[in-house]
Amino acid sequence: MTAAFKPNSPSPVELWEMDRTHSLHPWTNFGPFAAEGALVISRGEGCCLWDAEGRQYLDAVGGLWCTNIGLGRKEMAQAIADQAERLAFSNTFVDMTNDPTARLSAKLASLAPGDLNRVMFTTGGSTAVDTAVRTISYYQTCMGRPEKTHVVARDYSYHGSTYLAQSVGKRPGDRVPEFRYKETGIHHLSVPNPYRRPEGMTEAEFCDWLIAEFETLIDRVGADRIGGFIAEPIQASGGVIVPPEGYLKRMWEVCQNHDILFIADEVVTSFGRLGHWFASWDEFGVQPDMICTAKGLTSGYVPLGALILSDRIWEAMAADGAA
Amino acid sequence: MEREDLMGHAARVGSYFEMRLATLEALPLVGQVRGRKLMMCVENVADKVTKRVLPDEANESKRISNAAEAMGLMVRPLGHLNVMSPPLVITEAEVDFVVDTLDRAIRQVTDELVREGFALG
Repeated sequence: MTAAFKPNSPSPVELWEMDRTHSLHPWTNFGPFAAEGALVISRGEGCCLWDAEGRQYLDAVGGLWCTNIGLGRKEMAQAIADQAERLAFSNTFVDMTNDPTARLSAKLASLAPGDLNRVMFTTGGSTAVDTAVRTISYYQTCMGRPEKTHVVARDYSYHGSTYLAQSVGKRPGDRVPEFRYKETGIHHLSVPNPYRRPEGMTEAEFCDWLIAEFETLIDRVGADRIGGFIAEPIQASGGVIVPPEGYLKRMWEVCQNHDILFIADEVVTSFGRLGHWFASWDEFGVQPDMICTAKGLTSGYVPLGALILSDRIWEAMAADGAA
Repeated sequence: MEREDLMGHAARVGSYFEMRLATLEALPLVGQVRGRKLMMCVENVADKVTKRVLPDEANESKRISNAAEAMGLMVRPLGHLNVMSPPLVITEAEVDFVVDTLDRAIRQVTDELVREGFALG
């Protein structure tokens, strides 16, 4: 059965029915969806949304952690329209670029901490993470360590929805038997959730225990095989988990001691959610080797993500490719 | 973002949000309010001491988000949590609306759960 396609201003009920009949939503609960369909949102301004029936809501969800500058900004709409008119697309493979790529990569380099001065744009956060994880083996191979390709992540992490990103992430609710996950070369440590820490442990003892768990894993798998560690500074979809005091910095130090790349998945925490452009350094005092960003980068006005790499990684890749 | 100093605004209004939302920890259903600045959540529990969660069939976080939605507020249900990450441009008055409305929604759903015989506390 199909719902009639209506090109011109379908009614709220027609919109609801077209969506219910033809649209597959991420994380659909198929039972209720068949009966109830979805809430159709038609307009937004600032923090407010209006549904197709005209009811107003204050959107405390912020779209999906992403409508940072607020909806309905005419200046944004005009800039997007102007660019679409001037140049909708040109490729950036090999030795071509375009004005927005050049300008935004320079801007991101100026905002990102330390020597994170190289930018690769992606279509969103998932593909930024996917690219970051693939960069681990590329970099380590350039450094003469071709076996150092394993990646370490944490339980209750969410890193995106590509095959690789969903395998690196590990929220319990996402690990469904219907999907398949890459397992080789991916390790998960305990979630640093102070509220649900083991009974009888202080927060400081819990932090020590988490660090020791990472070091034990490195001993077991081998520092010559673990190439990267990926972490959201505050785990977002895993439950807004603020780790114990000092945890992130100490995990970073462990990485430093073993030439393990530290990837900060800042898809949620960058662009102001914690009051900083990036949270790794300004909130947690950590200088990552790579930062993944998206969401607040465009506040949802266009889909865009970015992987920001250190000069050190660039130089290793460049040296290997110089011949 | 630079012209309107949205980083500064987010830091200020985010601190206010943290402070206001923390008051919900007084509610019987709320085990913890956590997060930083404009990245916050409320964790619902059946027992604040043991931190035991409600059984899945209670579906309390979805019911809280549905109740809030009927009152004109969107919050995100996620497991036993209700998660919030509003636009950085949110005002203190809007934060007050979010916290007061969520407070009402949680109280309403708590009453329903008690009536339905779920063991709380």
